[in-house]
Amino acid sequence: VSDSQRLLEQANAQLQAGQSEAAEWLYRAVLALDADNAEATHHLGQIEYDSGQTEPGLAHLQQAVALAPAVGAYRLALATALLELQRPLEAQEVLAAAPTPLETPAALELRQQLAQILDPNQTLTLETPAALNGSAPPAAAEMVVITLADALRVCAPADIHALATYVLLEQGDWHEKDALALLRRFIQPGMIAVDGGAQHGVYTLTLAHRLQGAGTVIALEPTARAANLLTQSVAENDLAAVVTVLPLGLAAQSGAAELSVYADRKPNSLDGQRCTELVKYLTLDELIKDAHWPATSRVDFLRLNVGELLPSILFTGREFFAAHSPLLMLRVTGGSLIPTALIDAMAMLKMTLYQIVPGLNALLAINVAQPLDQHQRNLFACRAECAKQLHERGLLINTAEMK
Amino acid sequence: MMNQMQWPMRLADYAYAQSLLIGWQIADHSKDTNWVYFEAALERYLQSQDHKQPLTARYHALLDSRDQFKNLFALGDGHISTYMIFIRILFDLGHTEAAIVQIETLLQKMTWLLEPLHEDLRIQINRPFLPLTHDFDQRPIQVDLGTWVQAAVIEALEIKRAPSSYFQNDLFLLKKVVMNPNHGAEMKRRERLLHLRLGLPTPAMAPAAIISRRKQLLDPNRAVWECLEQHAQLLG
Repeated sequence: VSDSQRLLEQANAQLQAGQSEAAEWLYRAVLALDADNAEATHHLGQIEYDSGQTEPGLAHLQQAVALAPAVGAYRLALATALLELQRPLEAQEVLAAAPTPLETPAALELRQQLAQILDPNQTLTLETPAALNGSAPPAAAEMVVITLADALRVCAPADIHALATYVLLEQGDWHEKDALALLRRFIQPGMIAVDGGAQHGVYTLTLAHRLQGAGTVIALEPTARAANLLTQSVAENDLAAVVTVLPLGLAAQSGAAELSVYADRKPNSLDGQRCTELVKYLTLDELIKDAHWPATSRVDFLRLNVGELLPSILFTGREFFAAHSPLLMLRVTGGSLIPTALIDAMAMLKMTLYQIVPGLNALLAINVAQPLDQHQRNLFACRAECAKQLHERGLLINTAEMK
Repeated sequence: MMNQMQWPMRLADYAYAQSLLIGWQIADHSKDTNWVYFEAALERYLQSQDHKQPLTARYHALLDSRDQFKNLFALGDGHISTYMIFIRILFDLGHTEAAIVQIETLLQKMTWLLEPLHEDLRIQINRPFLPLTHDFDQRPIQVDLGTWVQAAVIEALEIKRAPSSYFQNDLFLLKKVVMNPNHGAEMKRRERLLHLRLGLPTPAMAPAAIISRRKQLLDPNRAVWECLEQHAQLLG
């Protein structure tokens, strides 16, 4: 047994005994002999981090992951620290970079926490519909009205920890600027658009604004709080004539389900109290039969901001897609391959997937065998006849022409 | 031989370039072994920005220019103009991940980009260039070129590395760029938001009394900021 190994065993024993100061000293001694010892680096990082030495602690936790990328415990510790430091995106990247997916209960719990923080309204628990806890939905929080760069006014929670409030104030627009730039060119008076998963409504309001009074936007938002805010935004912008807000979501089967939402967020903390809200869901096929469905002509645009339910919603929309051939906008997760189920859904619908070329503000067919760029948030899809129209309008690059 | 290149005329449309154009045109490029290739790659990129051309031709030009800049790197060309335009092309193509890697490489190679510049130091760039993001195209140079380039690089990294500072909670780059007179208004807002969210003292703002009427009109969300800051003070 080498000296460094012996010291490491002593350090581990001290750590187990709760003697973190002695353990820290011994781990440093190990690293003096063996600078690339991942175990000592990890434990030293954890001790430092736990004792409030955040920066060196985090550096050592990161170094341990770099030295031993396959050790799940090191990765989990680093991701947990990043989340505590309110850096959820980096925490998610650390988990995603694991050579083999981490499946421990702690890892699953952390992943769920991250999903809820990064996209609070997308954590759908599609279990047996249950009663609404016998309590009323959370009271609407105080509201602010944020004016965007194009003079649209968006109602958002008076809460700096709410993603919508923060981003709209920061950027004067939603952060998906490339997608919005394309849609601002695409949408024309007279069109019909459906915004599935409208949330705070920047897409709904942007589309409606461009209709110039002629056409319809149907906004689907299942959570009461967001739907209420969106309804107020519609009134703020005098767009009630062209926008219909329906308090329901899209799913692979109709019914009700409990959606996990933030009831309130404490200042300077991501630990808002969570509650569940019973919300109504329809399939796309049932949506067009619903009494509230106001559209009488073809749908030109459909945005699906529905998380992991995306392929199943497409599969259960056969009648919808038999009647309509819209440009689809699909929320996806960057950094990975396009899910097979989504590719299968595209094949069934005879659609091609496209991504935006931001510098040209136009769409380009993608190679589905290539992983998406880590920063990719949205894809588009349409059938050949729609693609032809987009090409004619200078919104789609025809690679066949290049060949 | 008469210069047939269009770049001097095309770059004249960019506000930052106007004071630099003459210098670029009269510079002696005879000792710059990669100049001819660089100039051709720049020319091709600018063709991709010509809205009068068909979309497919513009895309073709964008891909060609990317490949030509890649070839320059392969020849060992590490000029800052090569980096800046190549990064811009990657962003234009939607290859954000690759573009960010290139910015990080640039910062490692040219560490001065993150450091305060000595007041006597004047940075000169003898090749024409374009900023990393289109936000800077019409932003005139304040103070000097060196600080303008620093702001262009730091802002590109700050804005593109995540959809919002909401996901970063990191003031490192913001602290550097808000000191720079070339920063955009969003950088100040990012700093203010992060301070508010993290419970830190609000960065010093101009006293209300001296805020001009015009500035008040330019910030339609002034009341929202005040509401959120008062809210934070009450709870703090």
